Amino acid sequence: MDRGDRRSTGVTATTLDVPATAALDIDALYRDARDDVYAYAATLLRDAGAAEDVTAQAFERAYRKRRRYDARRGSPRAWLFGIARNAALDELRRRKRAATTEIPAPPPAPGPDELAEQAAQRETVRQALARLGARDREVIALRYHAELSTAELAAVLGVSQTNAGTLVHRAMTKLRESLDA
Amino acid sequence: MPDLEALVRATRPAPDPAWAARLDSRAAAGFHKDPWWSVLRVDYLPALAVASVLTVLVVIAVAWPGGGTSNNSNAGSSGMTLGGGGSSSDSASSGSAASRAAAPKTAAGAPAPLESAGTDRSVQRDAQLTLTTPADNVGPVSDSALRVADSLDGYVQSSNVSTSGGSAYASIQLNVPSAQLDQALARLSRLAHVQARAQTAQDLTDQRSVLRASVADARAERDGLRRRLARAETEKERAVLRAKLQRAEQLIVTRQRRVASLDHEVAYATIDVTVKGTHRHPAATGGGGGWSPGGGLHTALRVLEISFGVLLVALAVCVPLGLLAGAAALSARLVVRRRRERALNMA
Repeated sequence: MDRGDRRSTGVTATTLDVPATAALDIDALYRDARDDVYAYAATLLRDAGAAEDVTAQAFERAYRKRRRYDARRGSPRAWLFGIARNAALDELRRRKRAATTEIPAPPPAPGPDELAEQAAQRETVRQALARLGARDREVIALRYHAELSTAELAAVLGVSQTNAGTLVHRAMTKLRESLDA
Repeated sequence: MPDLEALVRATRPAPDPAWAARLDSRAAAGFHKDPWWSVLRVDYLPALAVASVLTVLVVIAVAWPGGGTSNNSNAGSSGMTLGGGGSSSDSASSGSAASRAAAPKTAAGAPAPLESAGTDRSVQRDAQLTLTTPADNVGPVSDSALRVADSLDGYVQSSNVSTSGGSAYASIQLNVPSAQLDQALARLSRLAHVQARAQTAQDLTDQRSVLRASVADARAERDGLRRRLARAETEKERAVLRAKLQRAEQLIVTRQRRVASLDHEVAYATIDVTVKGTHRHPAATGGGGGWSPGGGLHTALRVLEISFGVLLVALAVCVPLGLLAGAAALSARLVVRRRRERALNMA
């Protein structure tokens, strides 16, 4: 699936009072990354309500700290997901236990022509993903749900790009093993 | 199984459209949250600015040398409240200003004994004033103090100015009409920096009444003796009565003098003025109100010196505190980061 197709859809909000800065167009970033941030948080936390809270909190912090953004330290998406990651981990710290063990479901079936076999495969993958450890789940969510590049993933996790690639490979291997089990 | 990556992408959770719409509206408002300083409404800012400026001006006026920050006012034993000094220019100049001691005015020219408004109280008032000024300015300040007494119909009871080497000192005792005491203190306080100021008041009403009654008694006795002398028949009796009459006359004079002395104490207030010479110039306008470029420069340097000192003290306090705060903030960030990673491992 093309990365451009994975961007947030149906976003109509525009900021009225916030002046756009040359370094960071926070409004465009919101339009671009709203659904990605939610997808990442939902996959990591396995809780739709908590994911909504974390997403809102992440954008709130991003709006508040937008003047501190430094382009030399990474792309706007990497910066935003760094904030979102902190918010998500804070949520994990606060939680006494996981609210659910199920990753929120994707949108309903797109049309009648979708094969039942594909739907079953998707559900199998979703359950296998939910069984993974939080670290692996996070890496997969950042790479395939939020569509971060390897460089952005490395910046968010604070590791080298090579290490980030390795982490993705390991997580996918574990997911494959979980599916085969 | 087909391409795993595509299948993983297909499991991407999507947000609830209703929640997304709510978040959009919050984003449209810029996730606006009023900062804590927003309680200071813009409407109030001019008033706050004016209030701040006035506060600074008051602080400067009070702290400025000669402004009377060191004044100590003490009520006397009578417990009467003594009012503040009036306002008057120090332009009066008496022809007898040069004299270091002048005779008190005659009884006829003396002001009436001070009696508090609305009552017949007789109050004796005194004040002590300590001024500081550069050593070379002690003489002019002392002369000005004498002129103040003259201009207010007062007189100089004693005056002593001593100068040795770089130090100077003056001790002056002034007597001014009690009604003019506040005005005199106000004008004296403007001559130089006021280091200390105190006032006392003593109610002599009862004492004065007793003395006046004793004078009346002595006169009555004298009149009685005169009548008895007129009726005396023998020479021996007249001699005895004359002797008694003489003693009565002396008693009247003595008691009248005591009454007059008391009236004078009430009518005139005593001001003990001490002028101390300092090695540093306390202010460009000190010492008789004169201003000189040198004095101004000295004051400017002094202000810079004090400002630099204050800055050094502030830095000495703030730098260690800032380092500690920075270290604490860094430690807190590290701790939070570790806790987040631990939470991820435990999830």
